[in-house]
Amino acid sequence: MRIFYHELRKIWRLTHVLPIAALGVLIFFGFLYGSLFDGFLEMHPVRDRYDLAFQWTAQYGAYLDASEYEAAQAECAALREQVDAQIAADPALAAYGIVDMAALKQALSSQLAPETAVNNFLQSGGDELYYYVETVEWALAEYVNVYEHYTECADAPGLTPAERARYREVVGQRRLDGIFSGLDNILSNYQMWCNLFAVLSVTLLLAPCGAQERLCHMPAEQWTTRTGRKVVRYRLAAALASAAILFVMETLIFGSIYTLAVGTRALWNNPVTSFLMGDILWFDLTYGGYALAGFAMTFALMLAAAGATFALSHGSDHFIAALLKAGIPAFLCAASGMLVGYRLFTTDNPLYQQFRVMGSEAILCAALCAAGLLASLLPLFTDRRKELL
Amino acid sequence: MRTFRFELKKLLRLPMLWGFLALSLALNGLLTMTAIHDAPWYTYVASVLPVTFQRTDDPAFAAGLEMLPAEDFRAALAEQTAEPVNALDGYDAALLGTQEAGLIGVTGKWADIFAQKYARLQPIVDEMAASGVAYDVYAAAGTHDYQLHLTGILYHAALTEALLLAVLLTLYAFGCEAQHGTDLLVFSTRAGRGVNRAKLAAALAASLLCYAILCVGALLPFAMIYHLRDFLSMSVSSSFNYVVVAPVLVKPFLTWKPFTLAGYLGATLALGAALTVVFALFAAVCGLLLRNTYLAFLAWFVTAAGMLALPVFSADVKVWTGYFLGMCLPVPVWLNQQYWFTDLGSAAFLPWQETVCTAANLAAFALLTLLALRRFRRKDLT
Repeated sequence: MRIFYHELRKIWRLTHVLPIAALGVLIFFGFLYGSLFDGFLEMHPVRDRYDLAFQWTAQYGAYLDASEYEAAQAECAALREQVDAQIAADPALAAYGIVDMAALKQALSSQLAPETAVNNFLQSGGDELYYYVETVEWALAEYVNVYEHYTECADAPGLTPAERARYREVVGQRRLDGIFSGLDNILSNYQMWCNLFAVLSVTLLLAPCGAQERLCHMPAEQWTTRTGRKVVRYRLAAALASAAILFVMETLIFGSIYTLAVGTRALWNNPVTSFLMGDILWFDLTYGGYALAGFAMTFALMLAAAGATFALSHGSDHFIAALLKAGIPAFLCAASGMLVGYRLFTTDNPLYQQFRVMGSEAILCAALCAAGLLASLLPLFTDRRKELL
Repeated sequence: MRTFRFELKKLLRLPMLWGFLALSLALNGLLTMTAIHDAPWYTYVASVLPVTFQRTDDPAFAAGLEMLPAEDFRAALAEQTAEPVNALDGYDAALLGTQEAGLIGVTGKWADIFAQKYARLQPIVDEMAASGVAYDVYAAAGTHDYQLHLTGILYHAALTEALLLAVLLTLYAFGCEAQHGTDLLVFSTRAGRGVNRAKLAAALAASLLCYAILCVGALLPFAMIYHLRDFLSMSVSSSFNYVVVAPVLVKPFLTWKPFTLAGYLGATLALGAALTVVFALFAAVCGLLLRNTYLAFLAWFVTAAGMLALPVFSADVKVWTGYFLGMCLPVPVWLNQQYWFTDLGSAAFLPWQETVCTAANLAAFALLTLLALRRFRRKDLT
């Protein structure tokens, strides 16, 4: 245990950890901050879609059944009357004969809307209810239309039997009644960059761990005793524990920021496949399950990078040699992380589009993890009987 | 000279260097093959050029095409070139500037500076339109993919590998003495401290050698499979070549001077070599200031990531000075390599920005390296 603790201390040096933390800050502000805080989440209809999902979840739970649908319709009708009253009360719009929501919608879509009057109405608070009601009406229509849409999708040419079966299952068992805000590119972008940083951080932390031993001529001292020959096991355990610690820290930090910015924690128990999603997942997962699946894949990639980097660093007698070697698994794992993170488990995922196997993202991560962990065991066997001479 | 040779030998004897080069060449080979499904089209267009010549507005083009045997590719080429288009004729560069500025929302004095770039582009576009270079057939409808594959994927991969190798080789050169435990011995004399000049020279030479190997290793197979030689005389500003700025904005490939593909490739290779030197000097500064090679690498890596993040973050918070000056740093110049020598869209505020900035970075990092070398000469190493 003492050796494990000291190996852990050797890996977690402040002079190595601080630059990695700085890298994390740069990646966040360079590539994640914009998508969360540049105003996209406050724009209509994105904000309205999230508000609708939160509102309906609070009122109706994770699913919208037939009676709740009727209640939502009635509520929508009441809200529409409010919007109509707001528009009718605006003298500038009334002067153009726009006295209700239908008329305003028609004017906006015909591009003949009186720009000044409409902008004044929308910018003085009229936009809040108008766009929200528009979103609710769209959602209520989707609740009905989405089953017909996926029934047609099931019969589209070029589908695999598994895809056809999945569409039919989703339609037949009314799996689209779930309430969810949809998987937009904010989550995809976030997952991709977090995966990239996860792999980079673990590679940069562990790249010097084996090479440092050789530079300090430690094998000469350690290999002469039985205990010394076993030190590599403790080093491996420390490396994998470091990957786990990094994973927990990064998940907590980046996950918290995302949850605070987007607020989708309230949808944790809601199904991701939903009439509001615009796509279906290949598996029946709640949002919480989907997030955990994403975390699991990130952890698998981190273990893969950690194992491979450990083994390659162990076989290097200089930092640069270790970096040159570690660059290859790091590139593989980072590229996999970017591919896996883009719209995971949907038809848009690049890996799925290439292989058309449901769960190919998980298979790839599992395969890389297994390969990395197997590689990490190599030094344990090679060091046991290696000659120093 | 002798020290230079020994230092160079030390670098070239690094086994992992050749392993990395081999793997990079293998990866580049795989990338070359990703466009193999388009090879028959490129082969066909290259084969008809001796008969049709390259200008689609020349009556000889259609006449030459008529003389060739009838087949699907001939019909497709005839359809694509039936009405020759000069995409540069009457092209409004100022409007493009407004659209590009609108995409990122640049305002204030930087909007005026940005607009001036397009004001200076207009006469060049008019001149190219008058000369008729836009009528070059290049690879017809496959032109965009051909150019993208050559400069945007293959060369970009080779350049990235070369830059990474330049950094690691330079750091290795300066960390070599510490690795072998000879640093206190070597650096205890004035002559010993001067070894750093030879190390720098060796690192630069090795970096450029690796760059040359990677470029030749990438371009040679491409040239053989996709008939690069037959397209070298084509103008890169052909009407068939374009840049997708946004789903709603596509523009011609507008260069600051008319380039044939040969000239464009030559300029790109030269600028890539200069950028390799910049990255090597960047790594040299880190390697000279920090004794621990790994810390030097971390410092380099974090600074490079910061160079990427700065313009993106500045654009998010609408600090346009940070954005445009950040785009002049070496890493953003590398990132925009695919559009070097063009207007670079919203990524640039100067004509020839990639060239000007690489020259400025070269001067800046050369100065920093000199200062770092001077500091090392007096540094207490104990």
